[in-house]
Amino acid sequence: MRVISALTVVGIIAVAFMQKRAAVSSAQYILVVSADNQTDDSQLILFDAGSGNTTELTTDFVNASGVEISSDGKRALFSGRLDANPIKQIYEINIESKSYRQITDSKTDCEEPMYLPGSAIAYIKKINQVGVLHKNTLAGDAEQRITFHPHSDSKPTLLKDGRILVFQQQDAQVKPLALRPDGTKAGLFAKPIKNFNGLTKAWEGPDGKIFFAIQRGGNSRVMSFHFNDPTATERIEYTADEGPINALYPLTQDSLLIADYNGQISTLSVLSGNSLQKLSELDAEVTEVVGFTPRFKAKNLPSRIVENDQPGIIMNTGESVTHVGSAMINARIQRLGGATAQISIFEDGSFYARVPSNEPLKIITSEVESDWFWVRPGERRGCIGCHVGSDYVPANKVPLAVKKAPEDLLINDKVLTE
Amino acid sequence: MKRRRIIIGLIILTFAWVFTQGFRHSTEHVDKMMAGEPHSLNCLSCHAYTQRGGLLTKVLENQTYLSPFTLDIDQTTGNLLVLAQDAQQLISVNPDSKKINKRIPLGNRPHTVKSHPSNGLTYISNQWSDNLWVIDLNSSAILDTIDVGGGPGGFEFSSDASKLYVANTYTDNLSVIDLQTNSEIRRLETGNEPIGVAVSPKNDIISISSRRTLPVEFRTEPRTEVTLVNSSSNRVKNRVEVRSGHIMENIAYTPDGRFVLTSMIMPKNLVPSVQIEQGWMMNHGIGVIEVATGRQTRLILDEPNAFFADPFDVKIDPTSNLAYVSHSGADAISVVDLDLIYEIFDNASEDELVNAIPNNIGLSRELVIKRIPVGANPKGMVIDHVRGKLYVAERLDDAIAVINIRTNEVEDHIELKATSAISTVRLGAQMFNNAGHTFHQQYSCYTCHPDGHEDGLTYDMSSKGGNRNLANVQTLRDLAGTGPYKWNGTNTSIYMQCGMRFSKFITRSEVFDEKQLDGLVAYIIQDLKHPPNLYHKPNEPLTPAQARGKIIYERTTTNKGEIIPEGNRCTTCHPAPNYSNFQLADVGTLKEYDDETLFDSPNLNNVYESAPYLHDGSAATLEEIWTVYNDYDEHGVANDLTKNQLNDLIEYLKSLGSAESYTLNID
Repeated sequence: MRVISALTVVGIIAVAFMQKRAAVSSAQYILVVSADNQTDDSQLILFDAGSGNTTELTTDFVNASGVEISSDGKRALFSGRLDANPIKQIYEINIESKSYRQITDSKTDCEEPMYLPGSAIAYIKKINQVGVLHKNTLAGDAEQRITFHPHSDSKPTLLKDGRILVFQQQDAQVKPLALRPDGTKAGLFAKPIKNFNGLTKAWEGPDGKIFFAIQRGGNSRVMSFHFNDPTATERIEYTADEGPINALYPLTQDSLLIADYNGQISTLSVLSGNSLQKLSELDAEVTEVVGFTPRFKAKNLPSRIVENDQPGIIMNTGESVTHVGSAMINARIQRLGGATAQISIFEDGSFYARVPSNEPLKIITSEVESDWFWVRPGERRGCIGCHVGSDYVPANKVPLAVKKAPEDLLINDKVLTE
Repeated sequence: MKRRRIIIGLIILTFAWVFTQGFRHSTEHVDKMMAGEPHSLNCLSCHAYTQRGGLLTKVLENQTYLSPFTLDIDQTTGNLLVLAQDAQQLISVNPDSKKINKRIPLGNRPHTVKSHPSNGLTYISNQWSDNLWVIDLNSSAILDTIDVGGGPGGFEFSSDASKLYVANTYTDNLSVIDLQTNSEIRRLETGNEPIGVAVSPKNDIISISSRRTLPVEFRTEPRTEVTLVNSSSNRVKNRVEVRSGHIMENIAYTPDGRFVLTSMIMPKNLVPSVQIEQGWMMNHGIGVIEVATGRQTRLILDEPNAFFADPFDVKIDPTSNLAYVSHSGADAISVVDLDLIYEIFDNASEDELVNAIPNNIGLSRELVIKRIPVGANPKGMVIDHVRGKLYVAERLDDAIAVINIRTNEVEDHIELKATSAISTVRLGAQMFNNAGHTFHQQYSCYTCHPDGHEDGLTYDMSSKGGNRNLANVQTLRDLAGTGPYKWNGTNTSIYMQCGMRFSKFITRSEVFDEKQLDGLVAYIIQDLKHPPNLYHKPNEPLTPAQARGKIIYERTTTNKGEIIPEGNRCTTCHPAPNYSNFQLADVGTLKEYDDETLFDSPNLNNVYESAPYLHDGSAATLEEIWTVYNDYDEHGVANDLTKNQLNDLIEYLKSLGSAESYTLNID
């Protein structure tokens, strides 16, 4: 309340640049704004670009952020903290009536919610200060953890194919991972992002381009890669002359809404190709922008996992980790604590083994070691070697290992999956 | 008044009883048909849209579609010739004015249209009539019928236009036709289901692509033949076995004749289907063969997260040195840079050509210079060099896309359709033939079921516990009333087969909605039919060998006069008219690491089309079912048969046609 009052007193100077706003004259957006960048006082504001009018949405909250609008444009998810509750929970608000309901009832902070197809949501839940991607129903009655690695997840976003793209923070770099909403088939989606001091959430646009903004030193850029071939299509869309780009959102196939902040004023602009049209200025820091126009209808992916303690199965088709066409010769599975189990490698380099589900694992070979990965209960994962990235598909051959049942791995004579 | 009240009360009670009991009964009935799977079926789903020839179906689905399939340019008038397969029509259209000049009725399941370079006549292959028609477009008269082998598909004129080379898809051979006499002068054995024909620029080599793999050792990669024929001697020059590629629908020469390019599906039928990600199940692209040496490679035209399913036609523009590939499952045309193909062959080692390049999906970044979106189910194409256009048959839109080959942009569409309404069956055809409902558009129903049949491969569907779960793809033709479905008979209805489980295990993407599912099932039941049986025509007597085989098929005693237990007789599990009792059985064919299961007795209509046999495709031929995989007479008592008796039995099995033809035979 205090923050909103302050914002109201200060007044939001929304200067509409009438002569340049034809394309977005009737557009509305939800902004996350903060009057004081020293405190966690951000709020959700409905902003009409045509009139410059603003409507406060989260007046009951001490802070609110991580906004995402439902596909019908009537509701929005956000992460917020009420006065009475020191923990950030996930809420859904009716944008017209401003009535809201609490979805999570967590003992730790829940942030950055997103809608999933099929009345489900995903969000980041802090566990021992580490962000972990979780899935839940919109009713909040079926929370399940869906990533299992020691790093921190952040900024999940929905892809048109129905998967979640999430940034995995590893030391000084971020790895964009894509996974199905049940946590299966997680894999590196695009090249790791390195050497940055600011990174926005990524959004896929209507034509498959995925946009995000990155800040490196004093330089702020809008970047993109294309869904079809993300590792090879990274490009710079725009370099900001003024302050850092805090947020962006794809409006159409050809235009982006971006918000930059020079330390005092936030500027909302529409980027079309190389042309930047200023839309409004606000005397607060805009940290997020989201639009109402549906970008796409994402697929509602089915799940094959079984929710019990069943192990998963991993399979390697046999390629060496460094050379296409030569066979892997040695591999071990490592658990988070460091214990390892030897995997039987067949003559063609293939292996086929049961592994425990829902825990971080690594494959260590004589040449390299993999990133942490996991399998969900009953999941079967295949790989064709670390060297191949996304450029190689499996050769059409029967891996020798799959001529037998999957191997039970042993650590100290004890079956790993028991 | 009292009596009237009683009557009204009784009527209300009757309605209430019928409504509640009827609702309960119909709910139980649908639940049973779906084996408890979630569904959204209504009565119309099964009792209207999916009744082949039913009155209600005719009323609800009263739409006629053309389905343009192949194209050519009339060498006399410059008009566009469109072969409309479903309407069985030849349409002549002026591509400038878009005016339709002529419609000529064609024969049974026409396939390809070609305009003769000099004599002004048009040639049509009628795939289900085993002949070609020679048509004079001026008079619309059929001047001649040229009998060829079974199922003529693609054909091509020799460069001097004196001969015609016809791929006989169903009898696996090539007819060489002398156009002076319109008679067959040679028949040459080709690969399995030959389909595309191309003549080299020097007229010295004829190349024939084929669709199905040659017989290969169990669980080894498919090898599909491109047959190279010496045109002067009319002898086979070389048989190039393309590895791990099939459904090579069409073939084209590069302008210098150095290479032939074939459209191609690259299946991963040997790799357990644990996932779709990373091209795990299927790739799509072109095969490239250096004609002089037989060196070969395969080039993937997919991208890492976007697949371009079911390539069909290949056309090459010599002026730009670009190839155009129509992706019938992705509604797109790929524009391929031929220069890069030359570079690859000039620089790559044999090992790279065979092992690395065919699995490199990243190559498409350089290889494909453009994707051109077009309408539904693009099939045949033709380049009009005079107008500088590429015409594309948008089969399921009843239209022709006009692409400017200078800009590679779609400039126009020539609409042929009589109606813009989409019937349930037509929607199903669009669903069946489009890969958009599969994760990353990796494959369509057509990919494994080309023309509604099966692709001749066995896939490892990878069971939950990690056991092997081999599934020999089964035909979808004439499927109505032959449930349960799948080898293990899990699916009690086609609705169930295509429903939630299909989404979980096959497409791994969003489940079909109610309307789509209605359409898909309606299309499968109403439109997918076996071609006429090659070995026995309805109303004709069986051959002597077939008649002897019928006696063996129906026998109740062995050669020694011992009674064959009822459960071990052919007719017990495979009774007419569908040659199945639709029950589960153990025929002793499970192998180590296979999932434990019984098998649904498959129906045997046109069974000769469906090699290999058994649930896992381990029997390469019908004979092997009994000579290799029936040691203990579990799959029918047959070990007492002599070789000649087994041959007769096989001849009879090949003669088994559809239930309709069985009825005709009985009459």
